[in-house]
Amino acid sequence: MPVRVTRRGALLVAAATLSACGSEDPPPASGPGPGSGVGVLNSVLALEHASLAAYAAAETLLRAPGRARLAVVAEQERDHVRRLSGLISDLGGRPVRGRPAGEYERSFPRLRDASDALLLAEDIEERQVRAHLDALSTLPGAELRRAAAGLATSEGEHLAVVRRLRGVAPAPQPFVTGTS
Amino acid sequence: MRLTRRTALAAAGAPLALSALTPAVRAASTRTTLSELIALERRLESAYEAAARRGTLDHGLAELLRDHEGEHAEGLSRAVRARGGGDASPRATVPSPALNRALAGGSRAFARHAIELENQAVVAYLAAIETIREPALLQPLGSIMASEGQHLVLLREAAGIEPLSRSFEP
Repeated sequence: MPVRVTRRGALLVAAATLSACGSEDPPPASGPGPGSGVGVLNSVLALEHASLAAYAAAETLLRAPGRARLAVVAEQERDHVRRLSGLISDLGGRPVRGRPAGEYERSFPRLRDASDALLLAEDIEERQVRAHLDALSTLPGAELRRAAAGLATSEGEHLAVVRRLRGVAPAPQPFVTGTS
Repeated sequence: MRLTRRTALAAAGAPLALSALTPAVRAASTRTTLSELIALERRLESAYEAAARRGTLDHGLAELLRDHEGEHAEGLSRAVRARGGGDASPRATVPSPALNRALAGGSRAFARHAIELENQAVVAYLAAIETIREPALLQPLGSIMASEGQHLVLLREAAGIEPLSRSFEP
């Protein structure tokens, strides 16, 4: 019997995907030490990579204009990947790489229709908001905090767009924490 | 002399990091920064209240945005009081000339005006996040910024423009 996407299930998948990202990469022999922010940024970057795979899978199940809207979200996620990778490199770190799409897709729940796809997208966006807010409180330095806040804001926008596509209230709460 | 973020920085020898200031000066600077954010939130709240009252923007949307800004202001006010500050920044009652023009211009004109106000708020939050070092404050400030981002999406829709116009705010 096929497994339906549930909020909890999608979140578990996202968590599993995040924990798996980059796990086979060897640790760098040298580079920035603890407290530099590289570890935190790489964790967030791994989730951004997973989100790209999720959007690639989700887009195929949507029709216009929702499909075009998700494509814009995905393009902005690619900008986030470039921004985070640049920050990590500037700190002397090595940005975690994305995995082949198939590896992510095997860990996704079965997406049978647009509703499943959008639910996964909403869960991914909520998780990203939460990850950027967590990073905000731990990253050292004004520039890194500024970047985390800007990215959290962008993910909040994505969350509103995805919720609009799902047909639910796009901005139901005055404080966007990614834990609704 | 009243302590403001500007005078505190000047006295300390800007661009000295706020982390180098004494705890008392840093706390005063944080209260000042939060009070400035409250003033921006109250300005937004007043704008949406006027739009709701005059029917300039969709009534449900105007009320939602007004209520959110009020919640932001209340949350920030609680943070100021918890740090020894007093109540600040009641809601503005006299609309600015720019707000009056926007209200008279209809839904799209008001939405464009509100987008400017929301963008100003986002810029102010980013500046606050650069200077405030308290972890307990950073996440709430970030969650308000994310909320303002969602407001921007709704307002861009109301203004008839692409709701996701930028990968990074501002």
